[in-house]
Amino acid sequence: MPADAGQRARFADREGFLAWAFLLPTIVYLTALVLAPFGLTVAFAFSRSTSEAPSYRFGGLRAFREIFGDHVFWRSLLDTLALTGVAIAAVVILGTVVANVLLADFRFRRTVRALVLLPWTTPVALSAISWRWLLGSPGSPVDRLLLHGDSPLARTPSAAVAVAAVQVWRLTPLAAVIVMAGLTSIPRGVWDAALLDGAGFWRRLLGVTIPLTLPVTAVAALVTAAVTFADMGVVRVLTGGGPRDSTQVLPVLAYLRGVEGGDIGTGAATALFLFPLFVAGVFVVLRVMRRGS
Amino acid sequence: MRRRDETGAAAKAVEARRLVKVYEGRRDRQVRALDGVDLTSGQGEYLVLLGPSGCGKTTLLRTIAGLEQPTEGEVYIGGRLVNGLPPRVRQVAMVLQSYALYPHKTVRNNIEFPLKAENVPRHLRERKVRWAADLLDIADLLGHRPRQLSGGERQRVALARALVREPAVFLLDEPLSGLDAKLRAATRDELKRFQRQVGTATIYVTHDQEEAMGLGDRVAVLDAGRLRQVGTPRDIYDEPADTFVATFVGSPPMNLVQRGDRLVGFRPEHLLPAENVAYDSRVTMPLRIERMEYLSGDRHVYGSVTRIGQETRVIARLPATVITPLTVGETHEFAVPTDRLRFFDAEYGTRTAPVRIGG
Amino acid sequence: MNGLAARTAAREMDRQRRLATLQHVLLRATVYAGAVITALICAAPFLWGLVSAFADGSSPTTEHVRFLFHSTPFATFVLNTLIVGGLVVAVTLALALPAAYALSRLNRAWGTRVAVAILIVSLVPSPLLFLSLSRVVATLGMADSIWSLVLVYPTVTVPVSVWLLAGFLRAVPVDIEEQAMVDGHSRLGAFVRVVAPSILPGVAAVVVLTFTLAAGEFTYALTFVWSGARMPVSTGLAARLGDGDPMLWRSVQSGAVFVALPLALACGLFLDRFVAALASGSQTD
Repeated sequence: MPADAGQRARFADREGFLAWAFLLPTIVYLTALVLAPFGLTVAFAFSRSTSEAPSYRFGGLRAFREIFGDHVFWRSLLDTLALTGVAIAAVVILGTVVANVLLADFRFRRTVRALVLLPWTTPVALSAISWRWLLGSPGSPVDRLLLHGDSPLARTPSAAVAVAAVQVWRLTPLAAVIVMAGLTSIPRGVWDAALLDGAGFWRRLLGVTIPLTLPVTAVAALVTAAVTFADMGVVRVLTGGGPRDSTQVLPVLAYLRGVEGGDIGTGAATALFLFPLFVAGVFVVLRVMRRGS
Repeated sequence: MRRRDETGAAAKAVEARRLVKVYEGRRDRQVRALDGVDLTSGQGEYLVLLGPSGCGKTTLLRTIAGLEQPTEGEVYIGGRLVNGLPPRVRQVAMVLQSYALYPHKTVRNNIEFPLKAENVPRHLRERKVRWAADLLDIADLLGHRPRQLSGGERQRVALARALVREPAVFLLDEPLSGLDAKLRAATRDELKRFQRQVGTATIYVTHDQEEAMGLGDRVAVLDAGRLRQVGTPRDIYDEPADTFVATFVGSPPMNLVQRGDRLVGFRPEHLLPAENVAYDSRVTMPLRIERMEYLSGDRHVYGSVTRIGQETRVIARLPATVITPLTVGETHEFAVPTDRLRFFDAEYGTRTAPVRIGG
Repeated sequence: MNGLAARTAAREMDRQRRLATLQHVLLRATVYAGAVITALICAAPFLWGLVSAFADGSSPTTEHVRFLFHSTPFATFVLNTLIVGGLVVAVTLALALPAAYALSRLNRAWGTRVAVAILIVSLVPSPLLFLSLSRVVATLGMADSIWSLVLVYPTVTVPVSVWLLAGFLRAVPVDIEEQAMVDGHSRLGAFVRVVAPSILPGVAAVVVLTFTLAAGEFTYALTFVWSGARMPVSTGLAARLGDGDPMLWRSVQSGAVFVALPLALACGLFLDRFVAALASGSQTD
């Protein structure tokens, strides 16, 4: 019995063993449900599998030929890129502003903080419903403001603007939280020193604040990009890709082709065009981490 | 030219009048970090603010710098009221405890930063940076970044950054606390020499009494937001204004023995075996020895005394020249010269007139 | 001459003082204006939702809310989300807590590389996975069931949680752990008895975040679950939405508010902790 206890103690004390035992479940899980399915998606993109006949049949470049001939695909690719770009720029700027406001000292700060979190914590589909109701339904404030029934979600430039705006609205709080973290990790003394050194507002901003928060701002931009280009909730609920596919994005298109249309091959091939964006994101992460260390 | 303009206020570099600073603490509790402080520092003077942590000394320094605004009272720098003015127009330079170097800038750019803020032309900037770097012996570090520097080097860079602005007053907030003991002694020496060289008035905050007594032309002792005493190191040590100063300054601290409504105070080094106190006017007391320590040749004798007041535990510090044999457990007659006794009010701790003690 | 210089200097001082006061006032005004505008924009659709849910013309009514609970499966959706969220939280903690501990404490050469790999995994966009995962889910017999979501959601929540928890764990002094080991606990025992309890607030923050992510996920929920009564609230309400029926709109609207507010309040409680965790993460790396 004592020998047994000693054995167990020695086992639980060995660092190498513990590290593996602690990490292994996560590694196995993520490999099985992220890496393997990713490989499967690549395989599906070169297949003629459908939901009626889901078993794998090699199809070569058939799916790609099909989507390249489809103008909706090109439209979606462009929209996805444009939406991501606009969202990054707007979210980073607004997120920085909001972060500074939330860190300032004022009355009702707790209330404001909780309200600011609303857009991000609310399930995306629900807030998209709310916006659709607000922008596009009879009797809503925007409807009354426009004095006639033609909703901004049913017209061409305004529908795309609405999608981008809701995406920015939704992600700004998240970026703000990340930038807040960057701002609070700058030692307080550095702010004091800049004040004492006689630097005015703009010099403090350009010479101290922005350079010091650049890494964390990059992270905020990256998270914004990752969430925006992968999201299908906003487009699906707000505009459904319309009017006339003018707000269609790749994730929703992949869903339409692969799940509703039943053509797993083209769906996978469509989704695969998000991969370069993902690689770009990974590249940024590695750069930021290398600079940080 | 500037010097002459200031002749009217020449004697005073910084003056604080009835300064009060109240912080809103948690749950509406108010903290009076400064509670009516009056303090003047002279041109070229080295003034040290000494006190335990939380006594308000850093708040006082930050209020002078303009990083905090006082709740009440006025701050004058070079004879001018500076309340409400931002730090940059106050002509102060401050070295913070953490040195607060900009981590993303090189040493050169760190030192240059305040000059750029004042839009000093490039060639002048370069000359000043070179001058400050030479003065502090960091000329070969100009291309480095702060994280590549040692603690002592960082401190010098912070000093150089403060120096290039040619401020009316230097404010130093515990600049040595980040250094190890050996470096601290060397840097202390350097700081003093450097200040003599530049001749700028300096206010220096510390909780370390050795630093305070060693560096200061004058020392201001603070406790709980109040100024307890301002004076030369010698005054502070020999003529403490109250029991707080008496026990805070000096290591080991002053012995205090209650006698009626008074406290009788005497320094450990003045309490010697009676046969070693050759004065005519002296006070003797029996000391029961409980413990002895040998420190750098001195003997520290711990025990309790009676007769002059209530039985009290005291410490006597016997220099190596006192060779009287003493053993733990025995009671020996000790004495203090009468003119070395200090008297305090037992209730308020303030200094009072001497009382005659027989024996 | 001297007097003139002094007067000029005094005037300059006064000017600077007025400037500083003005700047201060402007700054405070900007902060308050910024706070009010931000709060209003963020809360706008929900405020409107509340108004339209409880007001009918000018008279207050609870009709729409009653309709939501009695005539739509809203309660079922919420229950589904609670079940999925609770289980996902449990699975996430079980996987992420040990992994975070391994990454923060047990220094191995490959520790950083694994950490970066986990971070990269968290960036893999779900549209790249949902088609294959729906095959996986179908093969496992979990199609059209909330179990599919319990299986898949941790792919989203585990990487984030590992990073946050590793940040919290790094903030725990190694001393208290070593003390526990000196006091006779094994490394594992020290983790369970000393380290884990001391990061409980951080764990609570991760629980809230994980639940929020699980409740908000849309892509997988849309792909894997298609029967009305099995949907979570994130897809359920959208699917139930009939176009043009103002009655249903208003009910759905109030439903969105009922889901949004508790989540935002819970996250608001832990905001400082998230910020601290992110800050410590960015400092130590």
